[in-house]
Amino acid sequence: MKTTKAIYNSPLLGETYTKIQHKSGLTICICTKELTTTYAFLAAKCGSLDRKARLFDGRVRSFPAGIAHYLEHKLFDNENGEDSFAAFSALGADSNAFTSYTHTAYFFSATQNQKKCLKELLHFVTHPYFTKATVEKERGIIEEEIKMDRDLPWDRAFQNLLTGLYGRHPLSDEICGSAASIATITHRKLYDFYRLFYTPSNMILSVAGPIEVKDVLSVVDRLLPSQPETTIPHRLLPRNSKTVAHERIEETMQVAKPIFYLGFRDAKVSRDPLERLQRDAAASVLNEILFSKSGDFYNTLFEENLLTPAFSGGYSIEDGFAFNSLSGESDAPDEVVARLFAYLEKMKRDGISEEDLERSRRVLYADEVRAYDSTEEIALQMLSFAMDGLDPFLYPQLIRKVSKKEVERLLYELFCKESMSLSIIRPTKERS
Amino acid sequence: MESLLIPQRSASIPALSFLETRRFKTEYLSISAVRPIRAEEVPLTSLLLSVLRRGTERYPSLQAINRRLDGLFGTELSIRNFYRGDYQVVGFSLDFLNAAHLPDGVFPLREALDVICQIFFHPLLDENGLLLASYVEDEKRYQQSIIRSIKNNPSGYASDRCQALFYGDKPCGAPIYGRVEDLEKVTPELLTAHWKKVVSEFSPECFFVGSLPQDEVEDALQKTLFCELGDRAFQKPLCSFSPVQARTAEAYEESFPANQSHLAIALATGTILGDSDYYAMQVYNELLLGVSPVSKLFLNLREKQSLCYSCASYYRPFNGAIFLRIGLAASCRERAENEIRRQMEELAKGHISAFELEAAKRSLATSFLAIEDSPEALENYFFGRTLAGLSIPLAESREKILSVTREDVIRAAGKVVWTTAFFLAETPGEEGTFDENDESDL
Repeated sequence: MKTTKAIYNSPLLGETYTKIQHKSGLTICICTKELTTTYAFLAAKCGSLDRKARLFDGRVRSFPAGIAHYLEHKLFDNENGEDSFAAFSALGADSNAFTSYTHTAYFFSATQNQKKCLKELLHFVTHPYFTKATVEKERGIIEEEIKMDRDLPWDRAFQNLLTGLYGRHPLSDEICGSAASIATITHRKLYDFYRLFYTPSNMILSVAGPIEVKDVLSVVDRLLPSQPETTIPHRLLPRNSKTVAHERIEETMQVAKPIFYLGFRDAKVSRDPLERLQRDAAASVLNEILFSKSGDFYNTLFEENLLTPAFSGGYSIEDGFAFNSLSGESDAPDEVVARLFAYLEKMKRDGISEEDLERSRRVLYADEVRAYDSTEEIALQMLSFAMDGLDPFLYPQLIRKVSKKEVERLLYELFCKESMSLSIIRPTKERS
Repeated sequence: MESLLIPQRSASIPALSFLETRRFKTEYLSISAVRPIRAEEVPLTSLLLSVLRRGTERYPSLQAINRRLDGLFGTELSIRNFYRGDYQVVGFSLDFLNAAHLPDGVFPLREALDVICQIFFHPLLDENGLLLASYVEDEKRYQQSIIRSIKNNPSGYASDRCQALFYGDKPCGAPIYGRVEDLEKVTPELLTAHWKKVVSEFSPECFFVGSLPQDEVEDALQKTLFCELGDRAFQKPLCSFSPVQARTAEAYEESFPANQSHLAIALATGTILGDSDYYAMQVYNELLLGVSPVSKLFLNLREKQSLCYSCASYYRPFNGAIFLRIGLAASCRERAENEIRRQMEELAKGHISAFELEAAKRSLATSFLAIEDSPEALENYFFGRTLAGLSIPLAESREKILSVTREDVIRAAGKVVWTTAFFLAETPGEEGTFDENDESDL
């Protein structure tokens, strides 16, 4: 393969970035930015949803819940017994990693030694080294992480919402997995998972900061050899069905006030990334109109003490699933739901006003501009858009173009009782 | 190296510090008053800020205020309400797009300052000149809910309890939102009287970071905030900070329905910002734990003994405390406490490798440099030093960190005293709704 390069400009944002298809198969995004800190993310397109895949020989392989996250913990180990955290620290850099539903990313932030840090990042992610003993030792740490997450009521409410919306689906499993599922993870399974998903063609490097394209490229050239062809694993992601698994899930925890997540499963998930992005832009504008702190719904219910400032609404879309969610604290979550449907009916009757549409577009445009003041945000944006082969500069343009007709159509499509699930965490004492 | 990021004091508005930079797409302005913490007043002031934000003469509702700000291309107006040592900082901040990203003719600064003046000087009052009773009651209820919600996050709750026990009767030990019962007694009359007192005592300290011309910022402030304040005399805030004194070690325990226990420890260092050992104490904290993956406790508690997933420590430069927080199984408490004491002794004996020292210093030096990348972080850094009567450029802080020696750390370690430990012990409650053995249908 050959290395190819494309430059993207955004007159609207006043930014430029370069996208490179490297001869190794790696996709590289670089935004040279005159700030002090460089952020670099190296991500593989595999996350907690990747529980089944077709192997290169055609067989189908299943993996336990939490394997992508477990591997994320172990990749920092090196053959010489040192871990890469130490290597980054020696260079004066911070490093870390995260696993999402769809990808796993390793990153550093540095104000010096950027090229050495890049070398370390590329090296440790492409050179796995762990043993039966080191994998065993990590289990206790991950078990504590699982326990910690389960004690956080907002996280718990969200996880229960996903269970309600999707039922027997990997979205219902926590990203870290469970104590039971991680008990089955061995060093062999981790290597199998790694070999399947961590190929350069299935990975993206995203860099933003005071670093030149040629400097990034020189490091990648040295570390990643040319590949004759791309080897992209065949992900077997679950299908998006139309029906919700549970209309309601309730649990009790140590909370001061009931916490709720209300979700609406969106059945219209295009396979085309650009269409998904357009739907995301329109849904974001609609959420800003309907559920922001400037909207009628929040303010009316806030005045009536049915909601607190913790209220928010948003839309999530990925290849294979999409949902709109609202979250908040309320002594009467069912009353909030009833009022929501009354409000939505009114909005359908009255239509969206041009004033609300313009206000929302302005707020979302400002959010986009603000993101480009942070090299961390820029690198993350380039990464998440490159996952779908898209250009992040498209998004503010799409926001500007969202029409009244589009948001009004979404108002009908997104909020149906049949696709709704409600998750509530109630204070422990309420039940007793 | 960016060494030009040094704020200048305005000649025409002595209360304004101006940091000119074209690094950002946004502009940032903070307006703060610094008040000594009085335990009986603090919850009242927190409540007041929320009530004032609810509605004004010109913008009679929260919604009207928010819509006005949205119209200014998403200008963000935040309330400032936090402690620096034994002082409460109250006020507002603005974050808005700069001219390059706005249509011609849009000037958010002047308009947003006008909104602040409305909120602070012209809140909605009833026919008796009192803050609206309904707003006062709503916000009292919400503030009480915030106080009760501290338990929603077990780690945060353990940390909070540890800090309260450690500070004891010291002013900064007063909870910023007060206690639930304190708020019951607040009436519109009481809060209105407090508002008038806060306004009459308001001596603002303003800090601007951005690309607007200085005279434009001065003009906007003169025509809004300083016009409202009239010809009162302004004083540069100068605070007298002092470290929390060490006491004989004390331990507390509480049980909690959770899956994980939390250990929170307070160390008294006797060292605050401006002291000769300040930078050495920063390095000590980073060597002990900090947020460093190569610190003694991260390596020994987490990596070697697998006792925890989350662990971190924070040094508070305005009162000289170090707070550690560790999430772990209850059965591991003793091992964890022993390991923490052992590693503190290691540091006091100077058992610090060259690698450890260098990594800690470089990590902190990077943190100081990274401040240059955020208007809010720049404001926070310089504002804090202004309060302490210090003028220290970022580059100087970085250099001082890099020049800390092993001997400096040993000397700092000798001052650190384990004072308060709070343990939040897990008592597993009901089972969750998940079926551990449920195989997902792929």
